[in-house]
Amino acid sequence: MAHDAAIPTAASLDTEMPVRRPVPPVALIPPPDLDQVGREFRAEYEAGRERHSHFDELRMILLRFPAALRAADGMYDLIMERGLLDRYLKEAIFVTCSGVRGCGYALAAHGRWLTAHARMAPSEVEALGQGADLARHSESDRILLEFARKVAAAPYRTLERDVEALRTAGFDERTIVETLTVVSLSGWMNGYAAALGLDAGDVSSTIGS
Amino acid sequence: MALLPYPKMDDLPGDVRRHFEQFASDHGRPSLLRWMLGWSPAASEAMEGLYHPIFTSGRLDRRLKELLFVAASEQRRCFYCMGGHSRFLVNEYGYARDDVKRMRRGEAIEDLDPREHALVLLTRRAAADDGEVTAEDIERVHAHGWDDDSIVEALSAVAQAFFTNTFAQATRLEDDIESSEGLDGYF
Repeated sequence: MAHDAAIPTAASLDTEMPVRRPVPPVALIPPPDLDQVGREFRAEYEAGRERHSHFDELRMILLRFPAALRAADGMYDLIMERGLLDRYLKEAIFVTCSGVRGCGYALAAHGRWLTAHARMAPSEVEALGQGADLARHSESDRILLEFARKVAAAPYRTLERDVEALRTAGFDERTIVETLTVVSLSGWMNGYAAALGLDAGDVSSTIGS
Repeated sequence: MALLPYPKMDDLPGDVRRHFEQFASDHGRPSLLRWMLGWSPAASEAMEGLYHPIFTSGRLDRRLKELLFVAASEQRRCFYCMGGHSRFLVNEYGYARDDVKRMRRGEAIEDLDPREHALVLLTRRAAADDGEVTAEDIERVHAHGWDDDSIVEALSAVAQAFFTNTFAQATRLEDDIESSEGLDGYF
C-alpha cells in the first residue's frame, strides 16, 4: 500500500539505526539464570537477540520454556518480515493493537522499533496506540489500522461490512489474512506479557529510551 | 459462514499446497483455521512452529496443555478453538463431555488434580479481557508446587489462545466438524 510522503516506507528506513536498550521492566517471574540455561537454547536466544532486541525482556523469560521462545522468534521472522504488507505498516498495526489491549510493554517495544526505524517521535507512537492522529496515514492504511483496532478490541464483533471496507480500499484475501495474523501475533505477545506481569512502566519514556 | 472464502488448492503456493495434500492424505483435510491461513504462506509456516512444538514439548503433558488452552478459549469465548480442542480431550483422553465443560469453566471435578485445577484458574484469569495476573495469583500456583518454568510453560497456552482465538473469531470460522446437535454443535 502506498504511504503519504510524510510516512517513510520500509525501503526508506534507516535500518542501521540501533535500537537502544530500554530500562528493564518489572515482571512477576524473573528470567532464568543464563548459566543454568542449556547451551543449545542459550545459543538460540543469542542468535535471535539482534533481530528481536525490542522485546528481549520477554524472550529472556521465555528461556524457561524454550519451545515458546523458538515459536516467538519464528513467528516474528515469518509474520513480521515476510509477505505483502510492508514492515512499517505491520509495526503500526502491532502498536495499534497493543494500545487497544492496554499492553504498555508491547506498545513500548514496538514503538521503539518505529522510533528507531521509521523516525517516529514517541508522542506519535503513543497517538498511534490510542488510535489518534490517523489522518496522517494514507486512506487505505487508515482503514486497515481502524480494522485492526476493532478486531483487537473484540474480534467476535467483526462484520461483513468491515471486510467489505477493506476490499473497497484495495485489500484482498491475502493482505486481509496477513493483517489478521499480525493482529493475532500482537495478541500472542500481549497475552503473554500481561500474564507475566511485564510492565513498561512509563510508556512514553520507555519508547524514547 | 466464514467472512472470507477459503483458498482453493490452485490459489495456494506450492509448498503450502504440498503440505495440505500430505496432511489430507494422513489425517483428512486440514482444520479450517489452517485452511484459512493458507492465504498467507508465512502464517501457515508460523503455525507449524507454534502449535505442536508448544503442546508436545516441555514438562507439562499435552493433555494438561490442551485443557489449559480450552479453559483460556472458553474465557475468551472462542467457540471454534474451545469446541475443537474440547472434542480432542474427549476423544483422545477419555474425558466425559460434561466434565470438560465444567473444567473449562474453572470448576473443580473429581478427575482433575487440585494442582492442575490451580493452573486452570491462573490461565482463565490471564485470558480474561480485564484479567490482571498479580503476584498473589502466581504465589497461589507456587503453593501447589509449580515452579516458575512450569508456570511460564502453562501460560503459553494463554498466548496460543490469544493468537488462534483472535483469528478464528475475526474470520468467523465455522465448527470444524458439522454436527446435528444444534447450538451445542461447537461443544
